[in-house]
Amino acid sequence: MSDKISFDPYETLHKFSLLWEKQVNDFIYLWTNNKEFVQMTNLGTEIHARYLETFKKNHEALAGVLNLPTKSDVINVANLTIQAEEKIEALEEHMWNLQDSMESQSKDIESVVEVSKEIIKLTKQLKSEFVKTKK
Amino acid sequence: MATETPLKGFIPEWDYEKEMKRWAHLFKTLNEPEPKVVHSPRNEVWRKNKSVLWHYPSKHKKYEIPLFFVYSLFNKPYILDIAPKTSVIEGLTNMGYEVYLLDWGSPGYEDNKIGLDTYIEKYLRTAVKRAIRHSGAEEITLVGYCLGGTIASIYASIAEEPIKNLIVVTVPIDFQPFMGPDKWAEGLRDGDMNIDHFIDMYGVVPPQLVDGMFRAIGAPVYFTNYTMLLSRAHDQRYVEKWRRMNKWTLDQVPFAGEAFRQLANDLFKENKLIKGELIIGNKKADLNNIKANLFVVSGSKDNLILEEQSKPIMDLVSSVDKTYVVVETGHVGLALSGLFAKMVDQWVSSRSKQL
Repeated sequence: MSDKISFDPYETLHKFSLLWEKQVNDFIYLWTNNKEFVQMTNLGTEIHARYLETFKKNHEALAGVLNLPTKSDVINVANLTIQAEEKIEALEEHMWNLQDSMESQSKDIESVVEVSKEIIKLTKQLKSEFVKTKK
Repeated sequence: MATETPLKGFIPEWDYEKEMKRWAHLFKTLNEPEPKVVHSPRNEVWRKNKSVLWHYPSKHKKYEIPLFFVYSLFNKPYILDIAPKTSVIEGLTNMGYEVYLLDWGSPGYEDNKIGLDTYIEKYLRTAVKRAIRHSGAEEITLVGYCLGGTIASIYASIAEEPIKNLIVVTVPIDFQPFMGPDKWAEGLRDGDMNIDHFIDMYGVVPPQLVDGMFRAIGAPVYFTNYTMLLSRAHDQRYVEKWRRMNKWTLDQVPFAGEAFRQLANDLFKENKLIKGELIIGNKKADLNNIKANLFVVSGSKDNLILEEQSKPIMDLVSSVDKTYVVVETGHVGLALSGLFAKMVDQWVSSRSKQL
């Protein structure tokens, strides 16, 4: 039997594509790995942010005139909901603490009852023995 | 009589069935809707804003201390429970662990002020408390993956809750080494690149930009996943796995603006975590405060987080019991192979109080 591996065009395509991908990415790496590219990106980001800022300001102003809610109003409402959630959480934690202290108290009471029972038993025993010795 | 030609073995034999399967699967993959994510059985324990704490009950509980997963803020955590048999969470529940997972959810514009401190103090801490309460255990094991590992480590350094074990996987702790172009890192650190105004305007970093950022760092041009699919499309199991992985890779989440700013400025630019200068709430997040048993896993083929970024945690913590392991895998390969559950079990079983 031949141990030759038959040619698989799909596998070869994949191997070549790996090479192409690596070459293209290495090229991009070399092309962008410099201070000028970083500064240009920073400038582009800043221009984009300023454009967005102006657009947002105009949008807010227009929405104010038209009495329309904006994302800032949504933020305020969402914050109120989160505050309510946090208050409920805090209450729940208080309830846990109360529950825990109640449990520990009831355990304490149970142990006191147990001890009391023992004391009563002992007192009764002592009493009966005292009566016996008196006789 | 047939004669052998010198080209025999070179020209591929035409396998009609295999080719039909290949092209049918390929056609289906490109045209069918995305695969649905089927989770292991789980219950919702707690919910706040968009975050949810999930509980994955164990079929046969063997260990007292539950596992609490903290995933990255960049992606959705269903990679840990992506498909039956390869699911990390399913594997661990089958091994007898109670598992909790904090899903951060997808932040909206209204979450622009959520920073790392809010995530840690108000979300993670509360979720851990809830998990401890829900499980009835006295201690917990934290498992952090990728940036989730960084968050888990920061939390462990300021936690008042009883953390018995800390497991961090492909975790960036030291932000000085950087996988991408070095001039970019230099630009960010020197102030040539400033993203504050950009973040203020966007509120939350859109998922497309998050995806673009990772692409730019790792591989800006990426198409070999498709040629790989073409070469193995005759295999139904591979196609299913590929579809799920592809869905997860494209399923990015937005990143809350304040958290992104802290990540870029406090962690990446000033590397405050490793210097012990990071302030969370009103506490100093000093990794030296970590006394929990520590297990660190790095991937030798990881093209996002370098080993040098994870290893420093070993010298920074005060833990007596600490283990560092390097596995021959990529950044998400560990979660996909099913190996992760076995590794966690091997290390944590003796540290989880058997019932």
